[in-house]
Amino acid sequence: MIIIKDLHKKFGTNAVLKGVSLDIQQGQSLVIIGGSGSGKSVLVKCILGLEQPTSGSITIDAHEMIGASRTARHKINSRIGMLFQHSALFDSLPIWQNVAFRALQTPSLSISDAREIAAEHLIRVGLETSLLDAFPNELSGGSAKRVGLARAIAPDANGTPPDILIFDEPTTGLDALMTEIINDLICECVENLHATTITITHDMRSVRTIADKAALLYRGGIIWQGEQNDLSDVTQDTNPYLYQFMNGLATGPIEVVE
Amino acid sequence: MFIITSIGRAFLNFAAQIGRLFIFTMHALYACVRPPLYIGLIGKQIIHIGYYSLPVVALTSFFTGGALAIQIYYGGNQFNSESIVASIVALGITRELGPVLAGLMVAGRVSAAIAAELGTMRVTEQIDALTTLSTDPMKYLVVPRLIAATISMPILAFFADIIGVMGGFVVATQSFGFNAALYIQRTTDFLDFDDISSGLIKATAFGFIIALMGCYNGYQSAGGAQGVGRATTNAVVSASILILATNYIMTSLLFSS
Ligand SMILES: Nc1ncnc2c1ncn2[C@@H]1O[C@H](COP(=O)(O)OP(=O)(O)OP(=O)(O)O)[C@@H](O)[C@H]1O
Ligand SMILES: [Mg+2]
Repeated sequence: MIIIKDLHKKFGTNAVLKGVSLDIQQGQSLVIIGGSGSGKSVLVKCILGLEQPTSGSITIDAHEMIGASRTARHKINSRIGMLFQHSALFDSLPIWQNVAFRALQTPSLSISDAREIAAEHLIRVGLETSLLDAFPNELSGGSAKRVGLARAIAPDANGTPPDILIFDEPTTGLDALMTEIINDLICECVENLHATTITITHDMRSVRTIADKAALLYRGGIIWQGEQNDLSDVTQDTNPYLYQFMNGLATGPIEVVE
Repeated sequence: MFIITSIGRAFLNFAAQIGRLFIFTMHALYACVRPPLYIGLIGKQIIHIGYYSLPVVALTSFFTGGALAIQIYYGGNQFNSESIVASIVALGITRELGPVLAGLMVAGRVSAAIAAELGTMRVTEQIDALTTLSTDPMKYLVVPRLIAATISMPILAFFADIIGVMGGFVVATQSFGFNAALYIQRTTDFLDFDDISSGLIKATAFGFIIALMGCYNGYQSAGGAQGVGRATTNAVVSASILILATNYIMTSLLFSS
């Protein structure tokens, strides 16, 4: 379970997060939506400990993560699988070493076992196993995204997959068919692995497929959060912000130009 | 007023930079002694940093040894020049020119490469990705480079010594018609173990500086391709200056006692 309370993050004088509060139950799938530059990526980086929040609290399974010791952080990180917005594949390593990176941290793991893990997860994200020995710079953007996804969900050498998954725009840059496959895969991770998932997306179809719960981030604050069912009740009058965002309208209370 | 504030700001920036470098160095050293140590990566870096630098270092030092022999021959007293050329080339190369030139060449090659690689990894979030995959980037990226450079540099300097002396030998025997056996005899007569070892000790420090400056500047880089470019330049410039300054300090310490 992840609980975020009154999280603030400033870069110099630029306040990006201004009091974000969220909670995600074990095994729940939260989708964060919000316009470009609203601070979605910064929020998940704070959860991962990659950015230090200015103030606030983040607890994961009742462990406070802000100011946590290196070992506590390490222990939590070993349970988290992260897909970065721009994939962030290791470009000096071939695809199979990228995908099986977590497992390869155990030196006793044999190369054939590692390649097997990599092949299995490439297939899961809809890629050919012939890519195993390719390098990241040979991939298209969409394929790189899927390799990043495979790396995020791949298990360690004991076969334990991460039980917290964070996906930063997993389907951006993919065609409609692939988007469906990836959405299904995320649903499957939530159901089969009972993983707690945070997904950032711009795609309202994805929200409907994968979300148990959704939150709208606007100008550094959560201006709406609710269950998936609540989304269908949203109208221009009950929640103009959400209505505008969901329907992609250029006019409304959300100002696109800051 | 404006002048005072800008001087003050520059000074504060400098102090902050030194502080950050100090903290980075302490983190890196602490990471060196904490398991796990990535032996395979250290080996790979030794190949990259040490082995691939051999040609550059060899060429530089060969030509410098040759030029040194010419200078001493024409600049000095031509009487008894055989022993003078041999001894000054040997001492000059082993004590100063071998390690310093090897250090500067490797700084240009390796500091830049390390800063560019780590800088790119930083701006493309690969360093963040390492952290999320439970791998300490200090241990995975910085420590292997530091250890590999610190091991490789004295070996490179030793090669530079041998090849530099050979450069002098080739010029002396081919251009000036010196007796080869006598030249070698004079070289070995004049060289002490201390001359070579002092140079190699200095080279070890240079190796650490080269990797540290590359890693520090790359690791801290921000702001896209331009930031990586800046990191690369800073790495080479700071490594070169630090090598020359450290050389002066270590020379005065090693030779005053
Ligand atoms: N390292 C940083 N230093 C300074 N400012 C930053 C940094 N990272 C993010 N920001 C600022 O934080 C704001 C939010 O960025 P963020 O990447 O979280 O947006 P986002 O919601 O993920 O947008 P998108 O949907 O386009 O990915 C931006 O205005 C950006 O300028
Ligand atoms: Mg983003």
